Amino acid sequence: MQWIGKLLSLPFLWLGQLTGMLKLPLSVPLLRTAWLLGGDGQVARTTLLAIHHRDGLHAARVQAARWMETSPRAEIAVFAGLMALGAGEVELAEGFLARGQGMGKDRDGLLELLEFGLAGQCGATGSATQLARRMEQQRDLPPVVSRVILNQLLWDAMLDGRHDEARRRAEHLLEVEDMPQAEMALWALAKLHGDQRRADKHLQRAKLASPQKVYFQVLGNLAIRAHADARELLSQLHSLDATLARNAEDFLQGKESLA
Amino acid sequence: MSLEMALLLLPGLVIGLTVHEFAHAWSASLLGDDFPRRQGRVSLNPFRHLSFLGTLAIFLLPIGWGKPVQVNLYNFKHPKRDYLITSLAGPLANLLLAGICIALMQVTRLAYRHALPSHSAVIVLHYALMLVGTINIVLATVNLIPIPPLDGSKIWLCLIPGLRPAFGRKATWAFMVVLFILFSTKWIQPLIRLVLDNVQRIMPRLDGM
Repeated sequence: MQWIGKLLSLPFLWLGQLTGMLKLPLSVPLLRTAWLLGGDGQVARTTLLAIHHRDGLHAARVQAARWMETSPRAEIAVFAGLMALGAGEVELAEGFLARGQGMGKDRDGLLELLEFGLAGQCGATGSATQLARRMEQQRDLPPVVSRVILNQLLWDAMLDGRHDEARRRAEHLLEVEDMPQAEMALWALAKLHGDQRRADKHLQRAKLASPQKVYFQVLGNLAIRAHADARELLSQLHSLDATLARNAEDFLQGKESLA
Repeated sequence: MSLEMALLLLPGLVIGLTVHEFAHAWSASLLGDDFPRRQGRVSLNPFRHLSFLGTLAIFLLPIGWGKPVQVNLYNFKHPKRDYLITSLAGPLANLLLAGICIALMQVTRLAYRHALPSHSAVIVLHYALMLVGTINIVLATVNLIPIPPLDGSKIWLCLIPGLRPAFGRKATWAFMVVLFILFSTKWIQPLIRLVLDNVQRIMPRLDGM
């Protein structure tokens, strides 16, 4: 019987997606019908996104909470959790993560994104790295999650002085796509080896906004123990982005206390 | 294109597109990326692979396409090489299916010649196989055109030194418009005609038909 519902939901889903692409308000009732007929969690998430676009974030969050009561799905839990995390409601997001995990894996692999986002939000870099190490063993993650966790592991290796591992990780990331953070890691390693030409090339390739670029220059200098250079750049970062500067300062103080 | 023609092509296209997308997902899975499996794409269920625009196109254009299989290149040991294999898997699966159809057409030809010359089911089956085989060869050919999001564009990204496989993700919409113009204005017809002429030459024929 379930497949009949899924089959019937297809025209509504497709028309809902088409009207959604054309930004027509009709997409919401069409997608909602597809979700009601097929009961597919991915369609529920698509519908919530359409509600978000049409009626705003609050309406989408209310609808997600309602559906979590009546017909819960991992995909809805992920949506509600990510929205809660974005609003800084960490406890609520953790609740949605726990409920989502209890329902099995979501097909888009975004439960892991929520889990990693929460680990990062808690402020403990160690727990985020530990989680990233565990997730690295998983072969069924979406690219967006892999990108985030591999980047975390790259910079963990850099700041921990495991430079060979960091180089390997950066090169692997760059084999797939342009990754400014990996270029910044290679910039720092080239600087460490006194290869200025190569360092300049990597710095040029790293397409980042100015505050982010300076932030990674601070981290890169810390990773190669060029603390004086890091301090100099940090004062520059303070004038560009106070939050990033505080973040970098925490790293710098941590490194200096270890030294 | 007439509705009758579209309905005639529909089964072959659905089979071809399903096998094509399944091959992408399955090969990615064999090479270490289980993300397509998690998305339910390592399946021969056509509903897992059909897309709205791709199915609609069957009725508007002489061709259709499935929902692209999302591959996580970070899971590959050798991203360029493995993405190349995964990208080639779809068109190769279509050619393999066409080969199977041709082999089965030899069987129906022999059956027609020696055992069941007046059996209309054999004739229908023979021509159904011819249709499915031909459609699959056309699908393989069209997919090798180097315009995103077709597989041909991914293959070139893997072969040209200095380019990164994920480079092609951008600007796909602009290329979709190019493809739509290409198909709807029939500029692609000479290529398809060339393929069809050669395919007809290798297809086994029933005696006297």
